[in-house]
Amino acid sequence: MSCNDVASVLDDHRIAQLKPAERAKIDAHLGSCADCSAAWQATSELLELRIPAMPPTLLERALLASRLPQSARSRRARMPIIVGGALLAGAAAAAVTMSALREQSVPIASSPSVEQPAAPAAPEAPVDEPVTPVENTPAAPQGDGVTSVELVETALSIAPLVRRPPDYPPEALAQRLEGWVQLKFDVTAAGFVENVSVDESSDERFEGPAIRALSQWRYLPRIVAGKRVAVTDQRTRIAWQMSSDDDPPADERQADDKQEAAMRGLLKFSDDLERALDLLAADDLRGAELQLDLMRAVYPEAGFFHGDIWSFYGYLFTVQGNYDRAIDAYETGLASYERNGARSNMGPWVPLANLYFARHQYDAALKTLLRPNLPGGNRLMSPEANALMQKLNALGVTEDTL
Amino acid sequence: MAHPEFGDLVAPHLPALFKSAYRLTGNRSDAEDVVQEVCVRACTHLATLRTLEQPKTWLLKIAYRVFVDGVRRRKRSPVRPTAEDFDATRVSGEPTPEQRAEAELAERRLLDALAKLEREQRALLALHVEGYTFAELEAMTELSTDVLKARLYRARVRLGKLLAAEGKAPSLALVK
Repeated sequence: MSCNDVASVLDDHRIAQLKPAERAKIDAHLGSCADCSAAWQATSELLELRIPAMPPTLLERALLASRLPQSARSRRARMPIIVGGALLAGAAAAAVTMSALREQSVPIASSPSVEQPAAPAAPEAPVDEPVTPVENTPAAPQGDGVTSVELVETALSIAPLVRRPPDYPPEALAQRLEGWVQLKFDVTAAGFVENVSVDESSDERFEGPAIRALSQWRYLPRIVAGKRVAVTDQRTRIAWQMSSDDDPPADERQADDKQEAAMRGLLKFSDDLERALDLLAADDLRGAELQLDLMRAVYPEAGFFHGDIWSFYGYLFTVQGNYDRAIDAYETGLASYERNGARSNMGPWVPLANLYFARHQYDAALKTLLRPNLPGGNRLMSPEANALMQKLNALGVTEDTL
Repeated sequence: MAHPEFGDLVAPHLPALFKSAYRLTGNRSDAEDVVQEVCVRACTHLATLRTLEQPKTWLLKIAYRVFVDGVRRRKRSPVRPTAEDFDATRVSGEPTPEQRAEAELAERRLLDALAKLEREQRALLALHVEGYTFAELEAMTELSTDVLKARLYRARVRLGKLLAAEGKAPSLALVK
C-alpha cells in the first residue's frame, strides 16, 4: 500500500466501497504516514458535512438578480419577492425611459414616472398628419346647438394613455448596454396600436422588446369633426438606460420600497385606465363612465390621478357629444393638475381650448391655451396648440385683445 | 416575463449548484450569493446555455470561477450555519441535544479549517467531494486530471493538518 494507492481511493470516491482487507491495509499505511492520515481525515470530515436545505425562493431570487443591473443586484436580490415581473422591468433600477416623438414635432407630455428628454424647438408650421376616417364609427354626435360639431377635434395624445414598460433585454442588461429604438406605428379608431415597424435602432436586440411593448400601448383615439378616427405614421422612441452606479444613499432601501410602491400604484392605475379604454373601444360609453366613477372613488386626489381621470371624462363626454359636461370635466382635470403640481399625461388644455373654439368662445379658448403652470412653460409647443393659436390669431384674437 | 426559458434551463441544476456553493463558501448566505452570481453570468450566455449537453457542468464551472476569482472578496462577518438551516435535512432518529451540539462543533471546526485554505484548494475539494468525475472536474476547472489529482492531494493533506491543529473534535461526552 502506497501513498498513491490511498490517493486513488480518495480520488475515485471509493472510501465507502472498501473491502475489510483493503481497509486494513490502508489503516496500516495511515498509521505510518502523516500526510495520508491527514488527507484521509480531511476527506472523511468533508463527506460528513451537512448541507442545509436549499432556500425555496432561491430560483426566484436568482432570476430576479439576473435581471437587475450590477449596482442594484446585491441589495435587491435579498429583498423578498413581492412584485411581479412586469414591475421589475419597469422599476427604477433598470430605468427604461421613453419619449414620444412625432414626425418633426415635439413631445410635451410626460408621464409622472418617466423622464422626458428636453424638448427640441417647435416647428414653425403645423405638421400635416394623414387622417383615415373609419367606416364603422358611431353616428356623429348630435351636438348641443351651441357647438359646431365639425370643429370638434382632439389630437391623438402624444403620450399613450396606457404604456407598458418594455423588457430590458437580459443580455444587454448583463452587459450594461444602453440603447434606443425608433418605431413607426398606426393607432386605430379604437385606440389600439397597429402596424408597428422599426425605423432605426441602436442595437437590434432592443427591437423585439420595443415592438412588444409598443404593441400593447393604448391611446385615446384622435377625434375629427366629433368622430373617433384612426391615425397613421406615428413615431415614438423608446430608450433603455442603466441607473447610475453612484453610491446609493443610506436610506436607499426605504427609497426603493417607496419607488416600488409608487410603481405598483401606477401600474394598477394603468390597468384601470385600460379597462375604461376597452369599454370605450367597445362603444360602451356608459360603462366607461362608470369605470371612471369607480376610479375617482378609489384613487387619491393628490398627484396626477384625478387630473387624468377628469381628462378622460372630458374625452368621453366629447365622444358622446355632451360638450358642456366635457368642458366641465376638462376644467376640473386642469384644476386638479394645477392644484397638485402634477404634470399631465394627456394635455387636456388643447382639447378644452378646441371645445371653446368650436362653440366660438374664442377668448376662453385663448385663455386656456395661455393657462399658466403648464408643464415646462412651453405650452404652445404642440402642433395642435400652434394650429389652434393660428386660427385664433387669424380671427383677430390675440393676447393683446384679451 | 423576460426569459422564462432561462428559469427552465437553470432550475433543474439549482440544488446541485447550491450544494456546491455551500461547500465552497461554508455558509448559506454566501452560497446564495454565489448561486445568484452564477445565474447573472449564465444569463448573459443564454445562447450558449441553450446548446449545452451538460449545463450543470457549465454552471459549476462558473461557480468555481466566481468563487476562485473572489468576486465577493469583501470581508463579511462570519455567518454560522444555525440549527434551523438543517431542519429540512435532519436525518431520521432523533439526535440527542449532546449529539447535535457535538455535530455542530465538528462542523464549525471543519468550516474554520476550510476557511484557511487557498480558495482554489477549497474549491477543488468542494467540487470533488460531490462525486464528480475527473472528466467533469477538468471541464469545470480547465485543469488536467494529473494536475487536479496533485492539487487535490495537497489540499487534503493541508486540510487534515489544519483540522489536527484545531485539536481533536471536542467531545461533549468527555467534558461531561
